[in-house]
Amino acid sequence: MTLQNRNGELRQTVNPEALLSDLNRLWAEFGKGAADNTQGGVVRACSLTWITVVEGDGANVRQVDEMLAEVMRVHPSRAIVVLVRDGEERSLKGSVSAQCWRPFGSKQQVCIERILLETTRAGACDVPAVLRALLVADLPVVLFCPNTHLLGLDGIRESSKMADRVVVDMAFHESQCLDRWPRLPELGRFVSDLAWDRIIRFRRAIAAHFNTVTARALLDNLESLRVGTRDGSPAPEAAYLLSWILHSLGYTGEGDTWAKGDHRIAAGFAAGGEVSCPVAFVEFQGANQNIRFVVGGKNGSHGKTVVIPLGDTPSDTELLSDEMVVEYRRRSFEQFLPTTISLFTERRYLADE
Amino acid sequence: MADANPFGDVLQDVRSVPPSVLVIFGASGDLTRRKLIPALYRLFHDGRLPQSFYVIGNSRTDFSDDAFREKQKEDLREFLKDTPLHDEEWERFAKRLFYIPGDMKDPQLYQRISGKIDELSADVPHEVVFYLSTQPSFYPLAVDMLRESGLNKSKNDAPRRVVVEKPIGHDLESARDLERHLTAAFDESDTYRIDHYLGKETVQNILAFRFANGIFEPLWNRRYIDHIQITGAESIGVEGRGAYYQEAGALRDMVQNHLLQVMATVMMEPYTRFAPGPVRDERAKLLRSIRIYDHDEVLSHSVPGQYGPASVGGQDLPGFRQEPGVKPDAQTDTYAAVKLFVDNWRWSGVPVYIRTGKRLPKRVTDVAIQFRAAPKNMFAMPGGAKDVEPNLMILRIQPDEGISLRFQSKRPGSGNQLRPVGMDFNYGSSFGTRTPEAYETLLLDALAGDPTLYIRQDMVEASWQVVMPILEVWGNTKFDFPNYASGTWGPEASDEMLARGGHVWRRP
Repeated sequence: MTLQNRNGELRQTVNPEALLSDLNRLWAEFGKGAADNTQGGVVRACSLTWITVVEGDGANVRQVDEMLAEVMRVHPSRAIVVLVRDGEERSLKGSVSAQCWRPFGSKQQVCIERILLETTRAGACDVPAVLRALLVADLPVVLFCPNTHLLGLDGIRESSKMADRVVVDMAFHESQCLDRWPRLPELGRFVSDLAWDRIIRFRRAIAAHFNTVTARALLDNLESLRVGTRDGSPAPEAAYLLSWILHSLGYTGEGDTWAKGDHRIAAGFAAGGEVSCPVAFVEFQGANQNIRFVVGGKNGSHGKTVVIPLGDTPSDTELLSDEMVVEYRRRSFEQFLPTTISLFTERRYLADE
Repeated sequence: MADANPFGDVLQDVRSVPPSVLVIFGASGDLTRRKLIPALYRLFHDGRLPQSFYVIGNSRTDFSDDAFREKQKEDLREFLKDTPLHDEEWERFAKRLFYIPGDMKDPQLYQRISGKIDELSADVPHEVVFYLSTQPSFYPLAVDMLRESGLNKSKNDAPRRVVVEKPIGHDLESARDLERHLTAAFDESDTYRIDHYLGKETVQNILAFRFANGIFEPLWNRRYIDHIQITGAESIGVEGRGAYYQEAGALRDMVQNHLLQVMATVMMEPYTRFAPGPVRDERAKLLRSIRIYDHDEVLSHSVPGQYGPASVGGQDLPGFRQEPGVKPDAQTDTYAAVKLFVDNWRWSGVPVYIRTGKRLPKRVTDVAIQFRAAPKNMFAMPGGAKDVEPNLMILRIQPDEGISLRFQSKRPGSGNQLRPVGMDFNYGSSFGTRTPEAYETLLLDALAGDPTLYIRQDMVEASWQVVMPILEVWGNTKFDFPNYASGTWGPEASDEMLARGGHVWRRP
């Protein structure tokens, strides 16, 4: 719909009521198929509103749709995709569609509804009012904004305040987003970062290993901690991992000096060679023993090794799916975010001794 | 040295399983191939098993490790549902499978098992779980041999546990006898008696439904609930298990264990916290509160049945007495209906009807809670009926897992006519995700040392005490079997039992 505002400016905008009517018509069509027995009928499934904000073009929307197709089986939702394009004109367009799948052995399809809102950077300020009308009543709202710098747009930031959980990905165009990293906690009650989630298998392997008193003996004589990345410069994931280990062990400090009482250790990043994931290994070096956690079956050069199979690494869609359990609050990365950011920006390299 | 794991918070998200060895006795049997190995593979696929996890299978069949692995892979292709079987993942899983053939009576077998456990535990102590998946008659022998060989004793502080499949005894006396063997070898806290119904998500959800939603608790008592019906129906017959089933019967096979556990889950008091002790205490208390009938009360409160031959959907089906391995004059109950009462403050006077049977019209397990009717009807009812149909809440355990509530609604248009309508929660469409099989949940619990969903001996005995008088009277009575045709909802006498209380069986 095209409107003229008080200043005489023409702009394209969206009537949310019209979108909801379109949705109702869509479901009525599905229902007809069931009523005249030409189809087995559909189940309209919805457990939350899932808003995804992406920038760019249709290719990005297709990527979101693929993700949606996987996630919808676990979290059927009203999916609202907000596509932000470059542009100075104030524009907002909307359309509706549905995605369906037929569970194995079932006559009925399960369908979820998808609303696409296409806007320009200048039009993003119109998004919150439309979104507010489109949220499903009484159900949780998750906003996924992988490209964190989009949260710099007023309209998107305001939209994020409607969400019960905001999910970002600091490893996505990290250089663009660095200034937003310290401000993640301001985004709401529950904030998730897929970069933090991505290291879950490392964290679990480390926690499981040190779950015995015998293994924990090494921690009392710890001399150094190294997190390996491909070339030794840290991705956000590697910074999160090192920061979490230091925080869990009670070490504080900065630069080279990490201390717990009188006990001092060295901590930093190292080159791990060609790997397909952001962290290649984690090494705990003690006075007379060490343990190395490696990904993908490569054995450590010396000492004891715990291998994390590559196949155990969850996909981003699986991570996102986990995060959509809105009510669940994990011990969060927010507690040691300043340490993480300083580790990431200082990029301290710790060579193998 | 650090007392607690400084990274332990990560393990709160997942069930933490320490390095473990699972020893399966009866590893060439049906349960292993249909349930145990598929469940273990799914846990492995989901990354829920520890890095150091091994399975040692045993039976008399003479497999090598490789032949055992190959057999498991073949069976997985047939029985693994909802999870892909990738070659690379299978190879990693298969490396954890070992097999030691041997007779359970042979002491050498236990030495070989012990040697293998030691070999696998060379670097780090492993907890050991012995899973008895054999014929029940071998349970006492197996636990005796585990005790005599010393395999029951923990090593390096790594506990050793035993998992016992149902049936736990053939009657109260044999259940107590098995218990004597078990307690001689394992502590009660290390004895895991499995009832796979308690591992079903939908049964666990009954607790969430009752205790996490404040609106139901005020209604959950004799003041608002008229009666409860629990149905565990199977459409299949005895499927080649005629010889076993002839000795068991429906009351032993389903009511004594599964359905009484479901009843306890629906009717137990709230526990103080979700932990093995409090949850099992409340379950046990409920089971002990079920009225135990005198012999002369049994026939008015229970109905046995046995299916006869019939043609269902054009297919001629044999009666139970025509099944292979069944005596032509067998008095076995393939159907059982009982009317029970819970003699406590909350449930006094509320009848609980339980029915189960083979060759019923369809496979369904559910619990129907019928609320009392509104005190006065002021609406016109279809056909001039006087009463408004009461509200009904259905907890559907399988299939179509979910919960529905029936209530009255005004029909559109002029007039004031009512019609019952349903409000439905369906697991499949609300969560969409695959529901873990009961054995996944229960195996993981046993490996992690969490017995919350397992049966304690006092629960076993309380259940047997409820059914023993019924079994004794039925065993001493000659019934005119068969008394229901395959494909029907059971004998007329069962309908009559409900009619005497002013109730009717609902149609699931």
